[in-house]
Amino acid sequence: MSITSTALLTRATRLRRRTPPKGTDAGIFTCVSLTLLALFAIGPIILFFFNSVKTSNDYAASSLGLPKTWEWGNFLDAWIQGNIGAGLINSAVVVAGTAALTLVVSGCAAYALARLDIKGNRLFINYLLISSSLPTQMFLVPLFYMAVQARLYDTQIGLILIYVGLFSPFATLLLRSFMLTMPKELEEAARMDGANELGVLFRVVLPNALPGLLTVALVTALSAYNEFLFAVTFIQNSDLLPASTTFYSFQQGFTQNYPLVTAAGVIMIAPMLILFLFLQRRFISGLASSGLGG
Amino acid sequence: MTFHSDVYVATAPRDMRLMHRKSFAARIRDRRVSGWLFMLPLILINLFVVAIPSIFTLFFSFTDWSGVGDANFIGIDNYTKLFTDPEFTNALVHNIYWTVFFLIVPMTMGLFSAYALTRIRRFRVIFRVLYFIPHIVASVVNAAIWRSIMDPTAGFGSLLHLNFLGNPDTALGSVAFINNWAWWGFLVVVFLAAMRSISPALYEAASLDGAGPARQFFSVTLPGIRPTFVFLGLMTIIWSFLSFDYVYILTQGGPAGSTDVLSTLLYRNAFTNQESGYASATGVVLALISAIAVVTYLVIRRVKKWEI
Amino acid sequence: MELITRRTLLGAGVSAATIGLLSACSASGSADRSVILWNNLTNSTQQDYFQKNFVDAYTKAKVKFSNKPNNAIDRLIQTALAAGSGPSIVITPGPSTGVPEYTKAGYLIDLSQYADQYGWNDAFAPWALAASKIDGKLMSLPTQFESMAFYTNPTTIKKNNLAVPKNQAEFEEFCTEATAKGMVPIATGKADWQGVNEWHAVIALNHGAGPEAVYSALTGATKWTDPVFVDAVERYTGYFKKGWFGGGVNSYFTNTFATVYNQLVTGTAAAMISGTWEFASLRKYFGTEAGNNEVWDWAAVPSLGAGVPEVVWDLAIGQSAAVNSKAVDVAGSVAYLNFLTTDKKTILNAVRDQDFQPSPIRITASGFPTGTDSRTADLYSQLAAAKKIGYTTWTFFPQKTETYIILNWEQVLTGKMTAADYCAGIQKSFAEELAAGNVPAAPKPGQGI
Repeated sequence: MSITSTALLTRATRLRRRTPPKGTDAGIFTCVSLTLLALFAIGPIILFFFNSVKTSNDYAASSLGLPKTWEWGNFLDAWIQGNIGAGLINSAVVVAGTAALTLVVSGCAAYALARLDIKGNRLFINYLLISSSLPTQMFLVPLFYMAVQARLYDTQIGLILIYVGLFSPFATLLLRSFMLTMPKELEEAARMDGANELGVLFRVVLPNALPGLLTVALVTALSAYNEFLFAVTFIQNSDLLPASTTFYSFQQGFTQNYPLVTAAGVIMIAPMLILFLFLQRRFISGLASSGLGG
Repeated sequence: MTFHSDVYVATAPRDMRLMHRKSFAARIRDRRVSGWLFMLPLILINLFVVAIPSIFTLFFSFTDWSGVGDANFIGIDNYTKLFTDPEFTNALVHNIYWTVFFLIVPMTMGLFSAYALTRIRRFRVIFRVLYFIPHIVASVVNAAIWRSIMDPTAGFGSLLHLNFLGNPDTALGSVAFINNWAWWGFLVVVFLAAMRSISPALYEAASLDGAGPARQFFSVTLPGIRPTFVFLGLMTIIWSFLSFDYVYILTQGGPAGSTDVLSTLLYRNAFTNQESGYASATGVVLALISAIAVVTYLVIRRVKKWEI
Repeated sequence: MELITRRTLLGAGVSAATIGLLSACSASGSADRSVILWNNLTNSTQQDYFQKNFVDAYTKAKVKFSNKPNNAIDRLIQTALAAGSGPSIVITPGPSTGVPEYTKAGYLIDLSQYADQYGWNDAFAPWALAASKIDGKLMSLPTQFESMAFYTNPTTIKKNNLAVPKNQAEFEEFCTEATAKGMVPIATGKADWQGVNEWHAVIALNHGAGPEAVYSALTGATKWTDPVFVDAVERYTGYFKKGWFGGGVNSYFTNTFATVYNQLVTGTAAAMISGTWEFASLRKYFGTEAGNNEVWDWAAVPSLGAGVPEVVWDLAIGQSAAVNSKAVDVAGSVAYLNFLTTDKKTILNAVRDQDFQPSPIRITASGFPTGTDSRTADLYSQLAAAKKIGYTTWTFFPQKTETYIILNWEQVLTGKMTAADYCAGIQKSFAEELAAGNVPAAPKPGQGI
């Protein structure tokens, strides 16, 4: 993420934000409730962090308090023993591939659905809605068969294609609604100048839809990063396993050392947490206001 | 509940689309067809990852397929068996409890927090970020977090002398509670965005009428976000029936079947009991429930003429 | 009824288009003749040891080993086989789970033809080979032999003035006294592995009702609804309800293996009931590897019913391995399977170094290399002298019955199902599978191992 594009996004967000209702003097009840809810949301993660730097005995005594000693070495041990570095690199490949391909696939489709007014538009949207509400566990066996036939089993590209298939319906719906909020004048001008649809899409629509694209990329990346059932099924080679699977195996293999498992968990959530804190505006505003905000 | 199927999104305001159609009348005929070319990649990948596996699921639901080897057509036997299977009924009831829980608890927390956030002057962004953070943590890690907190020997379980996940009476509630922890923050964000689009004038008018915060919430806020509210309510129903991750990771449907839901039953029948045909029938029933919820939503939307 | 060949159907509709569309971006071809093996070892120490001594050390073919999560391996292998793929060596949790279905589907090769070549009839214990046959054909080889045992920490026993029980009366007294001293009498828990339920069911049946009764029901001569089984299940689950196992039914559900071992180390629990596979796990909790001076010991599971002998050794094949008919190099895979299950030196070294469970090959206590834990050698000398054997669900019971036993054990514990209904359910499922010919051959209970 370059500085310029981040700045652009922030500006875009600011421009698009509506004036919030004037803050009034909230009662003490409201303030206390909001604070308690914040504690509820964040407290467990803080406890989890504390547990990750405890000794096994310290943890066995209580999983709730502050650590007696701070065992920072747990992180290094977890990193090495859980082979987490490799897991994170594999995740980076799968996540980046999934996000990029989803953007292309969903970007094109969303453009067609939002702007080209194609035949059967509405029916297709409903199809997409239903196709993202199916019990995906049932897909494992047929998908496995197809992946083997296509020699895509045990390859990262195979897992990426499956993720794109699973996540693109939602991404398309989200992007489409974002595109509907964009002004049409630029596209019309480009068409007047004789640009074809592909040209309009890549030179005008996509650059303008950058904030929406980024939101979709983040949402998709998060889903791909956290996904587990398909990852463990479609990747066999332990050198290719993504972080979610690595963590799951690690958890099973190190039951005797809970703080170490916890440290691995902390390492696993760290990349997404950092990404989120950096881009929280885009993450939240984009997701909420582009579609559901009404 | 997972992230990727979270939002259904707006269609264009009708008048804008008409305008569009008029100004480019000449090109429409062409583009209405060529537009499908842009959708080709999505259609192809959807065909292979979603549509074909779905068709196979439907097909196998009429067979006695074990998950390996050949299959025999057995008509609708799997479906008739479903409705006499106590495990199916047990799981279905849990899905209904689950749905009720998610329609009430996170909805209330989300609405309350979002409304409260519209009424404070400072720290709104910080609160919103904090509430949303659990939503980005992977379910495997969330499960580990709460397992340690609820631990009956080292965590709150030992303080309260309660075995949250081990007691069949509390297990389902505990799993739902953990899933909700990672879920309600998302609702806050969505509701907050919807609430901010309500015109401040409406609040001022209500305020002049002497309405307090509570009255304003029911007379202004709730009607103002109704489409979002109803939409999320219906999606909650769909996701509640699909719910798998947390039950699978935390309890695998136990103890004594007390947390079994349709998706974990389906998974177990397909991969432990080697009754893939029967599991497929469960999958089809789940898909039908989703489809009914979607259609209900679409009908409501059409009848009420909502733009969302 | 119309027979559909799933593969034809899938193939016709799907694969042609898929291959055409996607094979462009596929991985490398199938010229690789490596033997592929998926296994489920519990920790990285074991994985590294296995890689070094069972994979790298094998020189006759290139072997590719990858480790799978314990909870996922069976599903992964099933899914892969159903898709016409999968590892060359097919691992199953015993000969009665997976193997019959895979055999029917034609996914496995018949190993009978190799039995003479590799001398398996002499290498393996006869009961283990018999249990690995389906319709007279040898479809898998046993890779792990195990039995059930009663574990204690002698220090705890001594300190609390307890005596290791040998029969029902002593067992009940043991638990009563331990409870009175504020201890958990028997450490156990199923949070990490639902199959723990069947360990207890096996003990309830074989040590509560007795091996003769179990054998009789396994052959179909008597029914599982016989009062001897109902009483045994009722009595044993009654112990759970008294809080003797795991500290209460609810705790049993959430106790992890780590909790169970820790309770045994620290003396929170007076004993532990589990299988001999724990030898490998306990070394992480006791002694040098754990940084303490604690030791563990084992004894035979006590008799828990009138007329049941005090020593009954439950026979179990904890893991079986077969050869995938789609393996690129079938003969090479069989040769590797032979190495995996019968290479005495490698196997016994692994017992010495990591307390791996050996396959049920003919091993005598004196055959172990020096440096082997004396507790292991003791186990084998006792097993050799065994007069009575019992029958584990994961070796001698058909799959659906086994699943029923696992799932519904919890229903009995929580009082949602009576012992009589539980046994009736076992009978119903068992009768169907007996009629379908899915019940493995069991040796008579009176003979040794």
